[in-house]
Amino acid sequence: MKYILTITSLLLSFSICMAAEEAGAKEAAFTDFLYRLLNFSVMIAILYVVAKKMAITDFFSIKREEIKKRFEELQTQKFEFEKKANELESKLKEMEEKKKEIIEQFRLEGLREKEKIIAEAKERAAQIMAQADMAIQQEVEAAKERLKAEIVDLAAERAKDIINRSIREKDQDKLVEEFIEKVERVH
Amino acid sequence: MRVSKIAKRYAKALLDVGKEDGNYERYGSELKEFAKICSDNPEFFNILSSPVFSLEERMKILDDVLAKAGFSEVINNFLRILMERKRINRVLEIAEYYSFLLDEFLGIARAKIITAKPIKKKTMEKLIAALEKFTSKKVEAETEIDESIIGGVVVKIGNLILDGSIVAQLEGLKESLKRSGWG
Repeated sequence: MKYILTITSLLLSFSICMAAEEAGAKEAAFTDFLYRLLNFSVMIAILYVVAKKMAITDFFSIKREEIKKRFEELQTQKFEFEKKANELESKLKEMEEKKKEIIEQFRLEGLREKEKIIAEAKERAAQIMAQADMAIQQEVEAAKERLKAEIVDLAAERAKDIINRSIREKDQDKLVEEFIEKVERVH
Repeated sequence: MRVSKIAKRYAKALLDVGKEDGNYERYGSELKEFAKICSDNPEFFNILSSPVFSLEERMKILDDVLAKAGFSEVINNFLRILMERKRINRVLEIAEYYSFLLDEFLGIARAKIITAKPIKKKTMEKLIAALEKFTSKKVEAETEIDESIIGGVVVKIGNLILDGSIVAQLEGLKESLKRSGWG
């Protein structure tokens, strides 16, 4: 479009110049020169304006493209970042959930462990009590046995003294006779 | 007393000689007498057993004693052999085992009868007769008085002990009371 306008302007200038040449050849040499000069100046001005306009437009056009591209890139980046942020956020949520699960798991395990320890302690306490009962029982039985043995020993000693004092010859004979009978019975 | 295999071998050999010539009882009593000399005179026995003195010196001492003792030639030679073979230190074991073998051969059981007080002769004879019936051997009894048994009688025949004492009966009663549910 820009190029078409430029070419049209140049052709118009050219036709104006040609028309001036036909109207008067001689007397209008100076006027012709002025027209030519004016024509040239206008052409230069037009060229300058066009050129300038074209360059600025291009510049802005390029700039606008760049900005658009950059904007698009930034949009893409923003989208990426948002996506990333969303992902991180969801991961964070997942981690939070996981953390809660782990804490809950540990809490439950702790409870179980506590119950187990309490149960074991109760069992151990019961065992200790049973052992203590048994030990006491055994000790009582042993004491009874010792006492019984002491009584029997004392009674035997006393019996020995009594027999020693009261034994007579006929008793000795009777004992020997009994012994002989026993020996004969064994045979 | 524990008797070694060596002592048993020598005792058996001497008994075999005694059985052959019929003097086994004499050899037994002579060997017992020599063993008594040794145990009553430990210095003499130590000299005979000691390697500090030469064999000739020891043999001379032995010969001097044997000459005075008047033992049979078999016993004299037997003791000389023991000396030569360095077995004279086993003579006490040999004498004991010989006595045991001789008793076995003659069917004699040696009994030690322990009582708190002396018992009547008739009762003793009855007891010996019962023991002979019990052992199926002729019993040669040796008596001992021990008041600690209080009453009754204890008979020892070799390793066998027949305890009919009051002390033993009281001990039995004591153990039975301790074992029973009494108390």
